Amino acid sequence: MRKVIGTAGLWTLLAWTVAGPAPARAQTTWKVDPVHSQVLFRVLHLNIGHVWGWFRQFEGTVVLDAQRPEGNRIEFSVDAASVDTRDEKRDQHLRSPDFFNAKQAPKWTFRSRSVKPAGADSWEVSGDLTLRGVTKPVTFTARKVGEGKDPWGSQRVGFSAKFPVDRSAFGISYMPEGLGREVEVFVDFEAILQK
Amino acid sequence: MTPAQDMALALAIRAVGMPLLATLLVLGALRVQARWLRRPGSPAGQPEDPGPVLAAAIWAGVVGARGLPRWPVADTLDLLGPLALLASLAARAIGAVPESRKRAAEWALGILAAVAIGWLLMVPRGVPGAIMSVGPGALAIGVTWALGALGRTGGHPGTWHAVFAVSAAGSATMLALSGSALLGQVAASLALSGGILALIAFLRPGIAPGPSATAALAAAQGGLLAYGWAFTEAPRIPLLLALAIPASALIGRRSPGWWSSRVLPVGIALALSGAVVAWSLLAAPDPSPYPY
Repeated sequence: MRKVIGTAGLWTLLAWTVAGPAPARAQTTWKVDPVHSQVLFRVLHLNIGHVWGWFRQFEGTVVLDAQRPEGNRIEFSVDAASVDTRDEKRDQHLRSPDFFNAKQAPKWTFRSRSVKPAGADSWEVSGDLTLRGVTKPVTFTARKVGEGKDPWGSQRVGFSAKFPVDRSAFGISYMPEGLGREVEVFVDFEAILQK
Repeated sequence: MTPAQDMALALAIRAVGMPLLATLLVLGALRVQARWLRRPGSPAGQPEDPGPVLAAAIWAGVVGARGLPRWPVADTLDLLGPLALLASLAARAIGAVPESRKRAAEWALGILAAVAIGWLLMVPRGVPGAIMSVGPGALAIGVTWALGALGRTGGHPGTWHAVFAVSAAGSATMLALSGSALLGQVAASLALSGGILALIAFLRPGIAPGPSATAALAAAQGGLLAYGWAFTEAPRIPLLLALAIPASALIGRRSPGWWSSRVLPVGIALALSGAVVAWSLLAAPDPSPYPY
């Protein structure tokens, strides 16, 4: 019996030495945690001040490849009807064909084409933004806010980005005299590593 | 100028500019059609049907409100103008059909137009479930087309246009109350166009608009309401009622009397249009404007 165990152990040690320890996973997939994430926007109102709003429903996935940066991907999807500017009648108007036309184009999406390192904890992200059925390329810088384990054992990473959107380029051109043409979008999210 | 002055000017342009533009477009359409687009061989004094040019004016109005369309089409409302133009051209083509087959041709084309307009306007790209909404839309447009066709078969030439103008005005109010000022503005332009054509027909019967004009307006109104059915919060029953109001033009169409052939049908249309507006007001959670 001692001889069997000893032989098996010897073979295991030999196999481990030849094969080496199991390699660390190169590509990791992270799912956006909507509870700890925000998608906000602000637009100039009457050239006097800003009106802020946010979207209550969205989802996203981030794929990071430590060994092949060209394999990095970000995909985000926002429910256009979930807009919230703290005024229900204004939100109803925003959902209508005058602005978002949320019934005809319910999902706004971003799909990255490239995610390249651009300095310490920064990435230059380029991709296709689709709003109201119109797709345009956008490029912006995403900054990594932090990374670590949460109290429940999940690995988390946080990113922050902001970029301007020319609403008229996407067919959202109503009321040009009252609202600015450029809308600033702010995205702050935490994503959880998927096993 | 201060921002408040900017805003006031923009609203004034919308309130005055759009009716003025609609007036100029309709009159221009009649003029262009009468002078430069006469069919070869037609007598000089005979009025021409301004439908295709009117439809082009409707298209220009939608572009003015929405901006230039994109390809591929992202918003099906951009198809409203071309569909109105096709409807007017089809109605002109039916004019060449022998009288004995004309009614059947109108109904057949109306059903085809209803399905085509309902499909193209109400089924957005990538949303297969919306195909179920094509049914009521196609029915709605078919009704509008058919009523337009019936309006062309008798009665005073201006009555259908007057009734149409009243129903389009009610539709404009309903669509605006449903949350879309843009659709309300487009419907208001149709109401103005119908009203101008009705005035011309009443004051100068010799240059009354013909079948293709009613087809263009009917297709535009039907398409707009079908779009509203699919993509706004407009209540269903007043929407269907707005589509059916042009049927008032059938009342008294065989009667020679001024009261029964003109005033009565327009009066009934006014009452029904008022019902559409009242229902929409009651259905809207709070119709007062919000602070923009």
